[in-house]
Amino acid sequence: MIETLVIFLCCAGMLLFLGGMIGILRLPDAYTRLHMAGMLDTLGLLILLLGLVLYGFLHAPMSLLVQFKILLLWGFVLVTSPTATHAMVDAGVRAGLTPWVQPDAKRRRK
Amino acid sequence: MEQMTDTVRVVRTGEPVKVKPRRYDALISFVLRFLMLFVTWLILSGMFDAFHVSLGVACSAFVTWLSADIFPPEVRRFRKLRSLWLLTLYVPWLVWEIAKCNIRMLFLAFDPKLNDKIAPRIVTFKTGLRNELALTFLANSITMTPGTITVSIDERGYVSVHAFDEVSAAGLPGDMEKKIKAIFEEA
Repeated sequence: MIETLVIFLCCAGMLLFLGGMIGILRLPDAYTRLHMAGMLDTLGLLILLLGLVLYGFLHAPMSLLVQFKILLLWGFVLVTSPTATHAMVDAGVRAGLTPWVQPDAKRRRK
Repeated sequence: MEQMTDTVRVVRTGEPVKVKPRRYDALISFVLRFLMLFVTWLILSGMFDAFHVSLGVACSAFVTWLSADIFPPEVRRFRKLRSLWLLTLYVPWLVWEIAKCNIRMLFLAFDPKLNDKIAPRIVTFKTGLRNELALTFLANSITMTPGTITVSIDERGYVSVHAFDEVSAAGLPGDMEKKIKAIFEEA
C-alpha cells in the first residue's frame, strides 16, 4: 500500500519535472521560461522528496535523521529559489531586455 | 521599456518613527536564533556525543553573536500569539496555492497551443504594507507561486510583477496581501 504511494509520489514529481523542462524549451523568452523553472523547484521537488521520505520510513525506519535532512533540503530551496529567480528577472530588466508579448497585443499598442 | 535606476527617492513627511526594542526583545531574538541554528546542527551532524554537541553549542553561539548586526531584534511583531498562529496557518495555505498554480502550469506546458494561450505582461499595484519584513514576505510569496514573479518592490509599497497569463495576473494581489496584513497587524 505504502509502496504504491511512494511510486505514485515519485512519478508525479518526475512528471512535474518533465513538464517544467518541456515548458522551458517551448516558451519564447527568458522571463516566461523562469516561470516554468519555478514550477520545478516548488511542487515538483516537494512531491519527489515526500516520496523519498516515505521510502526511507519503509526500508530504514531507524534513519530518522536522513528523513529530516531530506525535508530540510526543501526548506533551503524554498528560500533560495525565489531569491535567485528575482535576481535573474531584475538583472534582465536592468539590462533592458524587453518582455515578450503576444504579437497582436504589440500591434494594438503601436 | 524604461531603464530602472538603483536609487529610489523617498519623500518622507516628518521623521520616521524609530521603535526601540524592549528589554527582552533582544534576548528572545538571540535565544530563538540560537535554537534554530543548534537544531539544524544536530540534524546535519547526527552525532550526539558530548564532544560534537558542545562543538555545536559553541558554533551556534558564535554565529548568533556574529549575526547580531544583520538581524536586529524585532520579536515585537510576533509577541502576540495570534500573529504566530496566523503565520502557522499561512504556510500550508501558501503550499496549497502553489500546488494549484503548479497543476495549471503543468497542463499549460503540455498544451499544443502553448504560445497562443500565454499573455505575459508586467502588472504594477500598490500595497498597504509598509513593514520591511511584511514586504519581503509578500515579494517571496508572489515569486514562489508559479505564474507570477516579483520584478521590483519598494518601501512605499509599489510592486511590479511579471505575470505569465491572464489568470495569474487577475489573482494579484488578492488574498495573499490580506493574510500578510493580518499576520503583521497592519490593518
